[in-house]
Amino acid sequence: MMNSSFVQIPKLTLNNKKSSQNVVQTTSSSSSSSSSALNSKKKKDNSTITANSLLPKLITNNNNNNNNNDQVSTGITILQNYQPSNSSSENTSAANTPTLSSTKKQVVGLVEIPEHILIRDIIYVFQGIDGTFIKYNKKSDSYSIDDTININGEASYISKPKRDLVYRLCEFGWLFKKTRNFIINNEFKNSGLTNQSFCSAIHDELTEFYRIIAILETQINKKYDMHNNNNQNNGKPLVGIESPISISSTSTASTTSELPFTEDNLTLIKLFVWIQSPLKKLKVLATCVDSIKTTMKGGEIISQIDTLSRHGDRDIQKLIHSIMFKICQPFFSMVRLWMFKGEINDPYQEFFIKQHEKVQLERTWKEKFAIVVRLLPSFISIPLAKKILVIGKSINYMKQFCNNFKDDKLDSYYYYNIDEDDDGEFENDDEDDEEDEENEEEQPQHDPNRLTKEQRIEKKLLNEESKIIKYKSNNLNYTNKELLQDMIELVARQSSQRLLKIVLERFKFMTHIKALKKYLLLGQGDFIQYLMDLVGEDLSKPVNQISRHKLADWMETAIRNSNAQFEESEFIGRLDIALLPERQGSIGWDIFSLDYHVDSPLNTILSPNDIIRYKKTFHFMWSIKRVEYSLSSVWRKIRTSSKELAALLPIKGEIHKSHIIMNEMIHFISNFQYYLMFEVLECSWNNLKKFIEEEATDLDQLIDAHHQYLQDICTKSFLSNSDSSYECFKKLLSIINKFTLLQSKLVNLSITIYQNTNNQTEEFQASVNKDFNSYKTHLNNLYQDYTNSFYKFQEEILKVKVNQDLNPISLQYMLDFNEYYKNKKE
Amino acid sequence: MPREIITLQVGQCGNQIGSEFWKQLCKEHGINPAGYLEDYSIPGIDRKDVFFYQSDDDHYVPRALLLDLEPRVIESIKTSEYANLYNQENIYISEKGTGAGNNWANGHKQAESLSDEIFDMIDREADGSESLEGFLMTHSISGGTGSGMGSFILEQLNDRYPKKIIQTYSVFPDDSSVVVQQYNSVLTLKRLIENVDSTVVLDNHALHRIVGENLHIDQPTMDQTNSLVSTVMSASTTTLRYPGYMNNDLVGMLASLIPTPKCHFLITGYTPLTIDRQTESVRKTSVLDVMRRLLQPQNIMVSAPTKTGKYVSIFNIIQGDVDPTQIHNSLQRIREKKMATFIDWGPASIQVALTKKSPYIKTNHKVSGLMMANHTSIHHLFSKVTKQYDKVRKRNAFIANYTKESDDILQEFDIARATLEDLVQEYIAAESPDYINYHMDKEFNNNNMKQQQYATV
Repeated sequence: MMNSSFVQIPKLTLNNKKSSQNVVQTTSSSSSSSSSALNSKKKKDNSTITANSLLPKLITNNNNNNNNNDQVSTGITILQNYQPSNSSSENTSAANTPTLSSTKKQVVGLVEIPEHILIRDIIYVFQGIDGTFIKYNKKSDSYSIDDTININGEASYISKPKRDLVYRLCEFGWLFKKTRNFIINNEFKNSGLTNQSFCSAIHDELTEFYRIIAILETQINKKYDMHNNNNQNNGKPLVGIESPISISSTSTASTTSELPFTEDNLTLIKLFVWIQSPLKKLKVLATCVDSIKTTMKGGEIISQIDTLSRHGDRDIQKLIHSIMFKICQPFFSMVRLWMFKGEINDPYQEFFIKQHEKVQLERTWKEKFAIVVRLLPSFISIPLAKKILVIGKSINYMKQFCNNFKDDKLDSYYYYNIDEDDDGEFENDDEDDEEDEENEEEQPQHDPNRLTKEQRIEKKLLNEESKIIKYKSNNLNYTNKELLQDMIELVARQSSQRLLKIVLERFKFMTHIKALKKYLLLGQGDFIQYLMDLVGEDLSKPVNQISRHKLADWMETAIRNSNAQFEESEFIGRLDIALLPERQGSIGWDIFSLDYHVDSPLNTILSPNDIIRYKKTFHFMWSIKRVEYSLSSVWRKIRTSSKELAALLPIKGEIHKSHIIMNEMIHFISNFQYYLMFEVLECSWNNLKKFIEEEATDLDQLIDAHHQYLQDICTKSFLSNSDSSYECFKKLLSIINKFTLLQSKLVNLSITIYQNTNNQTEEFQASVNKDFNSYKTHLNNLYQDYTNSFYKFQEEILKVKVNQDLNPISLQYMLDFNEYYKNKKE
Repeated sequence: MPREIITLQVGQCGNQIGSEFWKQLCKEHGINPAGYLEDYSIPGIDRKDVFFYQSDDDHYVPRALLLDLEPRVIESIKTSEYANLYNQENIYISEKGTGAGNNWANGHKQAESLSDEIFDMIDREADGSESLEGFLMTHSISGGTGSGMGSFILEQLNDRYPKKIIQTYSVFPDDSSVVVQQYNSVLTLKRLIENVDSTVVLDNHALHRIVGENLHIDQPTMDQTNSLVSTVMSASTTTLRYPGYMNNDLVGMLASLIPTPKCHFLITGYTPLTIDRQTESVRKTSVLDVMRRLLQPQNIMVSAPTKTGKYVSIFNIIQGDVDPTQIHNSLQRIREKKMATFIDWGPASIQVALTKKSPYIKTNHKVSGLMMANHTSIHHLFSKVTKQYDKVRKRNAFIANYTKESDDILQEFDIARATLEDLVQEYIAAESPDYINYHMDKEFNNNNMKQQQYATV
């Protein structure tokens, strides 16, 4: 069918060379009959063509429609039924067209399809419905003219210009059909609120076209009735005629009174011109639809449409904006719900913040909500999205974890205030406030719940600010990006501050990390010393002989006897003993650690992983303390046994040497601890404290800063560096331990000798000499070992310096302040 | 455990600086002169139990024994507003009350006869402590009581409390003082060398110089010099009283200061120095300023030429609100500028402890610092003592006063003189890089003498 129609084109073109383009006015006998008339005679009038007028008047006969559309579409057999009806057609306009000859230019055997029929067909096509001649071909996804249909038993044809024109007009129909098909696609429509509003926005625009088409249709009928006698062309150029369909959908309402058809008859060319403006609009809509994939949701759609709004044509911009406005509505209502209630109502998973349901309680803050970048509307930048995330997260968090504080007036204020979102409640708020104040004034001074003056002022301020927020939030839309940005920032700042305040003041975060520093990072020296004194003996035993309860008892004793007793029980009560996983042959020292219990909601901020890190650091520092402890014990032992040691004359030189070796070790241990204290603990702590007190604006920053603090400590204290430096350090510690044992033995030996001063037997002397020699060898070996390990450790520190951006240089120079090792090496 | 320290104040000088020390501690801990906590004191920031214990009525009692052979100083304490601070049972004045007459031998002899009473008191005090760390003695080495009685107590403590640390704050005499001081000093110094683990040298000569030059006071009173001493004493114990990450016990502190047993004489420096009621000129104090000034000889409370010789170790206690990063920078600077010369035979450095200032005392300075150091040049101080001793000993001046107290005293003098000389030699040896082999080849001949010495003990 298609092929045949195209084959005929050249013929038709030849035949219609001289014919003008005709505007066909058709009248339909009944508006309910939507089918086009089949039986019509085409008449041409060349005489009325003027140079000025591109639209010569053509009077056409309009035939009655006897057939319905369905029959038409079925094929030739039906068409044949109409052949006899030719004579029965009554042409009411025949009188007006006396000059027309029905046969004059007719190509033999072919009947040109009358223009009014084409127009009628086009009107259908405009609505996405097939006409008689113009039909949609699914295969080629295009409209084509079916001119194999016979008219009055004769084969029909359309002249080339008309055909071109029709095809061009069909574009409108094609676009319309495409757009409409998209929005009635349930699969897409039902997969999200934004999808729905997108469809509805497009649908609203399409409805406008229906209206215009209806107007067109009535006008066609009306015009025919009113002006069928008035054939004169008033010469008004069509290009000047305003289209009934303006791009702006709002202006269409007034067009009914200024119909473009009042002066002229409708022709294809007129239609074509008129349709330009709606076509432009339809093209935009089609582009919108075309750019949306059926799998798109929420922000994706918004982003996609948003890209189209960047158009130089203001009309198009305007149209896109009106669509955007509509499709953003669900988004903004979700944003509002999120920002003011901390809730997500998102059945279709289209909001850019995703809620993970199965998140462990302590991970709520970090992991429960996350941004899905894919669903983020393009007009919201990632930083802004993060702010939005934080806002809702904060509220949600406060709702979930701050209920304990409801009795606190200020907090309940925070809580409830953000819960209301009706504008009408503003005034109530004020009244409530005033009542509150009055009540407060009546309350006796000693009421513990009474707000302080500062709190009241603060409350007032918060109230003012929250009003502004609410006011602004109701004007939320995407066009005013600055307002959006301002508002989000304001709300973000506020909710973050509130949450931060709660965490710092109610959760007492700072005091907790201070307590952790005091106890797990050994800051509370007297407690640690006491504990070391008490548990020292127990910890030297194998693991299986260690009683956790006993250690816990010791810890309690240490708390009671040190300044830890003045710590509030809220903090000190969390302190406990932790035994680390044991290995083959572990002794108490290897597994001992302190623990700090962190429960909900604190564990959302101080995560179990953080506590593990604290424990790890404790273990490390505790092992150094232990070495320091045994060194000073031996020092004391040596000093308080000077009398006995003086009896060891033959090895006096070695003993002197051992003092100096011990000095080296003490120097190493204490300087390493100085490094830990000044360069690691105190500096990191100061940074953290400063940050929290001066810079932190939201909980995330607080948590991150604390992470960084722990990270700094671990890195700088070689815990998370290369194993080799840590191993090297441990080796040094173990050599020092061996040395302290050796010195203890020496003291015991000296006591034995001292007590046997009068025992001059050869046997005794021999054993003494053996002991002396053994001591000499051990001492020299140990010292050699120590020196080597020390140099190796120095090298490791230097390596660390190269690898990481930290400051072991200070350790380097503290360990060798007077360049002893440097000179010795040389 | 608290690691208590019992203070023994012996003789006039010892009691004077001792009572100043307690005044200062009371102020710093918010304890009023009667021994009760002031209303403004805050619990949990300090540790009082090292130096005080609490009686049943919450009265803070110093772990202190006030001992003297003559009543004057102790009586003045007993009539001062701090009279009720002390445990009255811990105050002991010999019945004779005549003093030791600037005679070491007399003081030593009297103490020997009073031994039971004195050690009853010490035992009682020691029994009252849970984990006694050691004793701290304040005395002068040149008088009669502080030197003689002090020496006796030191000897006895070694025997009776062999496992305890003994530290002394010993006042060394000014040049201008009496002749017999040289005798007393030599005899006392021998005990300080052999029976003590650490001696903080408070050189009267230097103290007078500091008061005169640094504080521009022409005729320094005893109180003014004593207030310097109490400042040093209290500052040197801050790390014990305000526990922190490090240096919480005496042994740990001494262990890093004193590598070899004999060389345990510590010099101190303090800055900025002020004296009560004096309108002080406020200086800008940064950590570097403080640390630098501490290394300057004019701020060191010992007349030793610290520009010569070498530092064995330095321990700085910095008080005040200090940014820890400043410590690091200051140390680096001192190292670059080589402001201090250290020994060559082992690692040595300036160790720093940061402590908070007592919240109860207002000072105009943001940062203050105490230096405790082990410096080899202190041997000049001992050489001076021996030189002067030799002079008077040659003439046998006043020697009869000593021989009449004890028959062995002349031999005692010689041993003491030799011991002192030994120490001087060891300090000189410590200036050489070969100190590590000090006792290896040399000294064996000396040992015979030593052995005899121990045999007689």
